[in-house]
Amino acid sequence: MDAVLRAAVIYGFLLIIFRIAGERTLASLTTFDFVLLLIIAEATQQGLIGDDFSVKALLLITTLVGIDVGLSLLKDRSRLLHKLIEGVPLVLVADGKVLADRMQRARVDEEDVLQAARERQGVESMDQIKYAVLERTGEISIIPK
Amino acid sequence: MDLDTDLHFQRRIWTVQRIGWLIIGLVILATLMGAFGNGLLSRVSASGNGLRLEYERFGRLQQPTRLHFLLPPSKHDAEVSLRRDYLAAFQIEHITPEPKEVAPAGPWLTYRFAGPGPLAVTFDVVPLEFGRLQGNAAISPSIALAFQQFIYP
Repeated sequence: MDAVLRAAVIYGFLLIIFRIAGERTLASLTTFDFVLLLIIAEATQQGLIGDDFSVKALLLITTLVGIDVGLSLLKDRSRLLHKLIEGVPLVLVADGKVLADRMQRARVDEEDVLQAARERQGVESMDQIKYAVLERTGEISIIPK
Repeated sequence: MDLDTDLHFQRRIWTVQRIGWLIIGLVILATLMGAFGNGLLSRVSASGNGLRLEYERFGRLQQPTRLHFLLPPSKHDAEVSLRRDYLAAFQIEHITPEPKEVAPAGPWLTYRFAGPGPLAVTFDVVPLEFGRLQGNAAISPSIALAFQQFIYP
């Protein structure tokens, strides 16, 4: 009986809290979003199979989601905060020209760019690439010529 | 475009989300204040005729909580009695100092300690039931106090 109740309560609670948090919460999956997701999963697991089911798990999840929503609201107000938290995109290749010092600092090599180009755009060489951008999520997006 | 959109519905959801954010904020604030245990709102005391009790108004199931008694001066060994129906909702982990004798007396359980009062006694207990709990502590019919606790599931 206990197991069914716990599962139902957690299911309902998560459904409601993520609908309230909005579509964009944890949607873009930056590295930090991924970490947050893992923490929420851990808290949920405690509520599901921990020895004691107490409101604690629900309070933990509420607080984590609340901070995330709160920060997203603050990010809308402040450009600087937005950059600090989310990072900024970085152009790695411009007009087929490899910006080597940037790539070195960002710890990306030409092979990573070419792989992204092949996988996403079917592009085979560097001179077919107009722009390659290291996005805030850590992915490389390619704009072909 | 073949897309099943419903802007009217979406607007209503946005309103609900705003209200939800407010509720989340209030819940976090209430938690910080101790509405779910361990905080300003939760730490309370009760006293009556020299007997004093500090306790948590809000507790959680299976989470240890503490009853801290200050027993008044007495000629004989210090003692305090608690209602057995209240104690039935808890598992008693420790009593400090250890009582030298525990004796039932009708609906009460009397804890007697070595030496006369005043004496500070701590009961570390773990709630086994949730909901509202009515507690009663007494030393004699004239020195008694009643207190309420709420245990979250």
